[in-house]
Amino acid sequence: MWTTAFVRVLRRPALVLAVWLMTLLPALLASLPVLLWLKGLLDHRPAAAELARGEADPLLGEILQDQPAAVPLLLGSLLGAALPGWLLSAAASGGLLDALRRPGHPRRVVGRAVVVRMADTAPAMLRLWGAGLALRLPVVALLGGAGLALRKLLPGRGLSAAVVAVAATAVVGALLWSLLSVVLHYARLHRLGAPDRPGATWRALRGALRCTRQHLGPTLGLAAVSVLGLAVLVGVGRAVALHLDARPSIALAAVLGLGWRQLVALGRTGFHLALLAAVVEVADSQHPEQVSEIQATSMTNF
Amino acid sequence: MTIVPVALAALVGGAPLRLPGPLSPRNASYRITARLDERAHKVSGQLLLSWRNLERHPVRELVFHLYLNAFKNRASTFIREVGPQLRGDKMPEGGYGAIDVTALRVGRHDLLAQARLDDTLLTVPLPEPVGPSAAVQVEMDFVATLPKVFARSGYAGPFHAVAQWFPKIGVWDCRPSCRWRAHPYHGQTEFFADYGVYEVELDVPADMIVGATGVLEAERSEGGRRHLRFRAEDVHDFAWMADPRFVEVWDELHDAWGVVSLRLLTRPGSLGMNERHLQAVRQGLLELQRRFGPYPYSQLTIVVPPPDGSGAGGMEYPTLFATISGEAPRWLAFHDEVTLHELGHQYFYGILGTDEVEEAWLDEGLNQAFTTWAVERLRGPRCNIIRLPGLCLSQLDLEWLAARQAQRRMPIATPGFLFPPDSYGALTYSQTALVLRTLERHLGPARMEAGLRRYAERHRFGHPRGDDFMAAVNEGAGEDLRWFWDQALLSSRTADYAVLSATSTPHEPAYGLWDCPPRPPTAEDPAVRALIEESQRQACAGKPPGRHLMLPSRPARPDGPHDSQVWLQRRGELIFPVAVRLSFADGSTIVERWSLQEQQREPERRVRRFSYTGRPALRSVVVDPDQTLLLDERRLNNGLLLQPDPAPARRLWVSWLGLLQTVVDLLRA
Repeated sequence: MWTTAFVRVLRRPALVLAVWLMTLLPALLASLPVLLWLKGLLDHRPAAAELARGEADPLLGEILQDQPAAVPLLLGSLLGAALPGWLLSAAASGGLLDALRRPGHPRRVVGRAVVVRMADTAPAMLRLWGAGLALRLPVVALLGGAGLALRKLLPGRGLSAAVVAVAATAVVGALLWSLLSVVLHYARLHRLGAPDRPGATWRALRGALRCTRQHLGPTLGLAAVSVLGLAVLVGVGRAVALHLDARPSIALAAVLGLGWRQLVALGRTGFHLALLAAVVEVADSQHPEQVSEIQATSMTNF
Repeated sequence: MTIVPVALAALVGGAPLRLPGPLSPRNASYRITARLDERAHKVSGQLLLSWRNLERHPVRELVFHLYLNAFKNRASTFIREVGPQLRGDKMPEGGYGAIDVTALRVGRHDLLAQARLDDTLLTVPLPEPVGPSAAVQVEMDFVATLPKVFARSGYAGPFHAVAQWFPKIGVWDCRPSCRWRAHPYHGQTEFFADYGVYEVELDVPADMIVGATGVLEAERSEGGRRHLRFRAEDVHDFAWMADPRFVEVWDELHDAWGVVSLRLLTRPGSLGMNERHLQAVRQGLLELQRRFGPYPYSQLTIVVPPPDGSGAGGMEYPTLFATISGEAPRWLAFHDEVTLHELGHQYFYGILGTDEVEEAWLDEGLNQAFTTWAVERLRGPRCNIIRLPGLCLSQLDLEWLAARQAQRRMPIATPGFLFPPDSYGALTYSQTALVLRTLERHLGPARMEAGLRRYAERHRFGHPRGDDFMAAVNEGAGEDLRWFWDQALLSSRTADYAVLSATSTPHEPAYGLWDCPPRPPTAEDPAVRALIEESQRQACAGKPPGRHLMLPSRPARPDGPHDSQVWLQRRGELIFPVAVRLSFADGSTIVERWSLQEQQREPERRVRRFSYTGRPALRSVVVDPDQTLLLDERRLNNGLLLQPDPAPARRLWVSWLGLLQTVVDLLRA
């Protein structure tokens, strides 16, 4: 399943690039005010070089203490990137899932048709995103509660207990989050194959839950691989980035750091698309009758 | 390092001192017998105090501290000042404590009825004055009801931190006029007492493991109870901590004066830190002795309180201190830092018996400076508190960040209880540490160490004050540093030097009409006068007397000689001699000085200009390039680049962009 998924993604490099750009653009736009602010603050300061090399971290404290705009600016930038990026990703998911269907699948789209499909399915996908958010909120609340409980339970119980508890919470949280994402992908697939009718979103969610129950093993596997893969990509990306950031030539470090981070972002995008392709594989391959039904419908319609 | 079974809970016997005594006046000595009721969390005791008047004036009344009354109700000075919380710990509900004196005799006189109790102070009128060098013996019976652990003392389950638990006499002091230096127990400040010999017999349940000031002299078991006799000499307090769950670890430090036994009382959940605590103590003691002379006691006990008794942690007593519980990874050194800090108090409070109430900076501040030195010895000068990929902070960095955030609202040399609650720690601890580390960089380590050693040697086992400290350091360092002390300790002046502006333009040759030989310029500013003289020299070089027309022959070259001008500004009030490093396009540098004398001459003139002609283009200016003035509150403005360098901002932006992309990717995962 994963091999098929990765091969399918590797054969669509333009799709990977397009999705990477889709993530990059909001982040880029949201980060520009931060760049301008940093330039105004640091371009004429010799100490900025030490700061950039990680040799004067207390200066970060000075900046945060002395610049009242710093925290709102950074938070604004974070929200300005995260929210549009997440929404864009959700809106595009219908087109992406159809783009990653098996060759020969009646809903499969390629080239510019992917964009058209994204636009067509965006309203339905955004409604599903909203419904998904309602599903995720209890998870966030649960994790928050676990965090608070840990704060009370952990002090003084030793490092190993603390590490195990925090790591377990993080892993469970990440798995739950990822599991919900997979369930939402099922819902999206259900929604894509269904006509526009009132209540279609909830029917799609119910279908997704049914699908999850029927294919619990593969679904959990998808969630686990998603968490593991992203953890590896983020970890390796961060480790190498830190190494590059510490280069004596700051200009070179900036160029290399940018290049490496975008390479890692491309990797994450490819992995994300492979996950979507794997979800499609699970959903489609285990419902041949549904596929043939859709095929039959589409052959009748077109 | 040896882990000793609980059955061999303590070494019995041995002298409390490893240097020949007496080392102090020993004018307040106590003999105490006390019984711990571990169920009621009460300590009942009888004490016999032998007190001698060291001053030349008679004493007509005695004043005792009853510290535990700070936790008697919400109306105590302590609670009124800081509320029912201290250092992030809240006073547990229903966890009140108190101390009651049930009998009080001086000789044949029963004085209980005459004694006046006010908050945490008990004043006892004497039947007859105690003259100079005369002594008096006071007998007291008391019951100390321990609070739930809060602000150093109390119980948490079977753990008992028995500190500030007996009636303790104040310090009779006639410098400059006679008074009892005995303040109520304030929320922010600590303690002050005279030296003496403590002989304390404790009656505790048989399973209790006890760590106490001094050494264990004798031990016997009887009827399910243990009777422990401790002795401490030349100390000014006695505290003990008991818990049946303690795990006992012994170690030794061998040095030029013999051996110090180190006894660590820890507990499951913190065992992984044993070696780190002991390593910190060994290295810290070596550093203390190198700087301030020998540790005179034969034993030091380190207690790791349980997590629910954390309010007892981070606290010092003579030959005993409590660090903090829990474990931490190697990259995080807060535990090591706390252990080193509390260890340092063995000198700054212990051996140098300063008044922690009136001059808290003399113990906490000097000790915090020592902590920065000790942490550097233990973990190197950089990243010695947090060493993570992408985050590196040293103890000195943390002091700087804490001090600059608190702002200098009051002079450091202010009685501790007068500080606003959010300023006390930052000013007393961090700012004082920065003051001393600044002075160290100014004088050089050797002179600084000589100054501090002079202070430590001269006032060992005395009650030095701020003036004594300053005078001793002046002498040891061989320089009158009043200019520095007045600003750094006795005023609330802040330090902030900045490069106000810097320009560098291609040098314009001496165009125009010139009368040669030239008249000496009359410009008042020496820098401008120098520029005119340089132009005159160029214009009239090799010219006969008379008027000469000089015309531009070719445009000025950007890579040729430049005229540069730099303005420095002293934005803070604190005056300090600073160096200025100017870097030029050809890689050459000049280091100038804005001297102390020059700044003192015209203190209201807060700017200083440096001008150069005919040198390569100026690239950058940095004031205080070696960061001598650690008190400088703003470091970013210490330098200026004449040509912008966009690389650092871009580098940091690249990290931020990468972070944003990662967040989006994680959200959709």
